[in-house]
Amino acid sequence: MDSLAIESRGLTRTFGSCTAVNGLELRVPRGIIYGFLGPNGAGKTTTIRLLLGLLRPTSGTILLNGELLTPERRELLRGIGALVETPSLYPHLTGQENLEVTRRIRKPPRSRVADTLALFGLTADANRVVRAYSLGMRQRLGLALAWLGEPSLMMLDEPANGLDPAGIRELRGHLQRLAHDHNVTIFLSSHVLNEVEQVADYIGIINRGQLLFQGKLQELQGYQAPLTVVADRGFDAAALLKANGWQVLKDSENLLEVQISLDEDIAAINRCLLDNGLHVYRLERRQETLEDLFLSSHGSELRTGSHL
Amino acid sequence: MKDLYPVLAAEGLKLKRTLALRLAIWCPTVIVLLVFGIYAGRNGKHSDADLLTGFAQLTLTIWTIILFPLYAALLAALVAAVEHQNDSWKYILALPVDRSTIFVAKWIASIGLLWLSSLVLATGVVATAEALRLMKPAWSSSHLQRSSFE
Repeated sequence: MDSLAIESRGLTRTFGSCTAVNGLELRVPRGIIYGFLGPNGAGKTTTIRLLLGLLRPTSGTILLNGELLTPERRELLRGIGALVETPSLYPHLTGQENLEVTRRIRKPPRSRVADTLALFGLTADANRVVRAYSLGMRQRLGLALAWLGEPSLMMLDEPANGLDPAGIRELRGHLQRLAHDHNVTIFLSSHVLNEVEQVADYIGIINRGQLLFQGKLQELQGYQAPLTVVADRGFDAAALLKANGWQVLKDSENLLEVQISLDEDIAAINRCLLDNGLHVYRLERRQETLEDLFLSSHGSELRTGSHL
Repeated sequence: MKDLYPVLAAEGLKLKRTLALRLAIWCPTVIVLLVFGIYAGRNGKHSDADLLTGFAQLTLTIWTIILFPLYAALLAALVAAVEHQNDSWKYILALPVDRSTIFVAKWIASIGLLWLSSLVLATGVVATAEALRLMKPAWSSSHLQRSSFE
């Protein structure tokens, strides 16, 4: 039987009276990219720390590749590469030496260091000390560290943190290559939906320690972000759009929010407003963050529509 | 504990270019040079026959009573700081190695550095004592022996 890469049953962890993770039932199939989403403080990092055996669960169990993780069975972690929050690098060592430290403990072949440096485009900077590295290079080196031990599963906590858009795009490329060319399962957490939806096959959404949604990305993509319209005479514009069959979610003096489903709708709304003599200053499809998604009414719709 | 050797090897590499390693060499060297400076300035008189012994004693006294306790604590802190500074405990503790192995390797690394500095101190005392002997022939052992027979 094909076991799951990660499975948790009733995983709970409390800190004093605060429940960080509550009854988590994760199901992560093998060979996919799993995006673990949640706003700050939702319990993402706690979950990853639990999965890596850095924290002990208050109750519940964790199975990695079908085997029970206990404090005594650290061998299970051999097949796992991790990047928790900021990469744990030694700034006084060179990139190559940083990898060598881990290589000595994990014992992959010596050639693996050079291969890994090449894979993440760090060969040219291998002999510079990490203190002189840029944030993007550090992040790549962190990934390289996770990758060094020939893992079948990588757990990455907020790998895109602090990267610029170009860096995020590059990171995405690396992740896709690892998952598809090397058949690695990648479990990555993020608080930005947009960041994850371009790479992930599966999505899990956590808020206040509870899993709100878990499933294929396509199931989540039924949800569409509304369009923000800034125009003069906002109430007239709202009335006009309503008359033309659009669903106006919010209206005010000059700012509207309209529910749309396709990009063509944006053009149609624009034409409709212009043709009726209204000035359009801005049309914007907001990048939905999870906070928006879950702290707004859309979140509850999504929640009731989801299955766990 | 079966992974102790590889973890220790990694620990050794981590010490490269660290303050802990530099201190292990510089701290005893500075003490030896300080006491050497004091003694090089003294005039070798007949009554100073035990000066070389006194030199070694003063060095060891400063080292063991004043400096070593502070230095050992500082060194242990610096060895642990290698992990604290960049929050890498979470990373090394997630490696497929027992926690006890990691802590034992750290302990051995600290003890190793203390041994290194003791070795530097011992070598330094012997070398500077030889230098003093050359600089102050009156303090030489032949003089010592003769004076003790008188």
